[in-house]
Amino acid sequence: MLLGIGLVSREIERRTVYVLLAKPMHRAEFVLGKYVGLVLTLLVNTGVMAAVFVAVLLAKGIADPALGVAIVMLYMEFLLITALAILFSCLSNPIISCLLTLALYVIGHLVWSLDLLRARLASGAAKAACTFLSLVLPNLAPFDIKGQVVHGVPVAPGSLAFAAGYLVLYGGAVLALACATFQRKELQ
Amino acid sequence: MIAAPARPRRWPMVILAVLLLAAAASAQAANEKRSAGSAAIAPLLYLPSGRYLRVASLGFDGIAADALYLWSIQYYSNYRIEDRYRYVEHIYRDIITDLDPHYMDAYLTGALIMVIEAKQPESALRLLDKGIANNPAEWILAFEAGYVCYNDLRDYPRAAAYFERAIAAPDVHPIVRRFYAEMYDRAGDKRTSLKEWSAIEETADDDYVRAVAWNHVHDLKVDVDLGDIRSATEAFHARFGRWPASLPDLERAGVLRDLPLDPEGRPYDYDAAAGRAGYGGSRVLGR
Repeated sequence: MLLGIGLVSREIERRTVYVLLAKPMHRAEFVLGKYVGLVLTLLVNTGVMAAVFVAVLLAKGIADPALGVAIVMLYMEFLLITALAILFSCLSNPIISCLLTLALYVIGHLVWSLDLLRARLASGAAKAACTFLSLVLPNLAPFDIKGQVVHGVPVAPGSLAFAAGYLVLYGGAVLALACATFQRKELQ
Repeated sequence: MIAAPARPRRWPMVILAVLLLAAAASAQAANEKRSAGSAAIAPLLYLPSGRYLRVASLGFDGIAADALYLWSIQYYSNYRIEDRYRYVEHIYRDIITDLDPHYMDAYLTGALIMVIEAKQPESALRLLDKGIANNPAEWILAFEAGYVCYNDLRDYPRAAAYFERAIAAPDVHPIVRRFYAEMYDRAGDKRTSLKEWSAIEETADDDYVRAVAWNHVHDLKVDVDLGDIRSATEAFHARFGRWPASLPDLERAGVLRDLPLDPEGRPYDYDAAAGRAGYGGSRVLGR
């Protein structure tokens, strides 16, 4: 997240973006290229940490394939957060981007509480607002199965497929917005 | 003059974003519908002990306790989560009240949830025991623990110990003593219940409490007196092989020290043929 928030805005601040955009390159390609670069960096980070983690577990005689699924889903969560960080990086400076991304990360893990609120509301408009927010805000709960895996609670079938689909759709929407924002951005 | 290159339009990207977002929202709605009612304990599994959270909260342990308490109310009000009580004791006893050992609402509400909803009275008593140890001057905790033993467990000796602890606390509410007295009646120890209700009647500050206490004293005195007379008539029968001709015979034979009068000051009725005493008046509480 910290890498993602300054990825675009820092290029603009340091004016290094001019060198890149002077090339025959679409602005959307610049944004997507930044994102893919960060995705690969995260892949290396997560892969190294997961490898050490698995090595420690194997040394202790623990081998649970479900942990691998949990790690993959954790990585997918990183990808979605990174997409949000890129969007905010296109919109604002690093501090604001950091706050907004952090806020959406927290909100993303608490979207389920909107359902509780909706069940207690009497007003139809307020219920509709809760439903709308719960569908539009990023929901990070589908990626969070580490608790179930560690405690041996069965993970619902299709969780991985849903998480992957959600990442493609929501992450795609966020990146499309980031591209749309950056396309018309005045670079001075 | 060279014209500036036209900037690409952004509306195709915006439309794409909207479409993808709508698809994501639809997928999420479908997933929620599919998984409605399934376990949702994941948010709880990584809650560490309050001792660690206390350090992690960087001095804001009271605020952390407040936040967790408010969240717990929401969480335990969600009836869709079927196994929501799996960690209820851990959350209240090991986290919230570790963060703030003087958080009275957390003790009382946690115990209430454990008893009423989770049907875990022993867990509630462990939570209340911790509250009593941390807040010895708060009578309500011992009273609640006593009520759980009295009403839910029907463990009267244990309830008595909690009630006595509550009564000994400063500024105890008078209702505790009334519960204590009533508990003995329910437990079948009418003599102790009579003694307690009599003490309440004698020390009551207001007329209402005095009248309520008198009602209990009235009926309990009848029960205790008739029990004493029954024991004495049976002792008389065992010694002489017949029932006494009248109740004063019990005193004369030495099987009853003082022949009691009923609450209205009249002698109790007596059926010499059956050897059975009775009360001619009507009971106030009708039980």
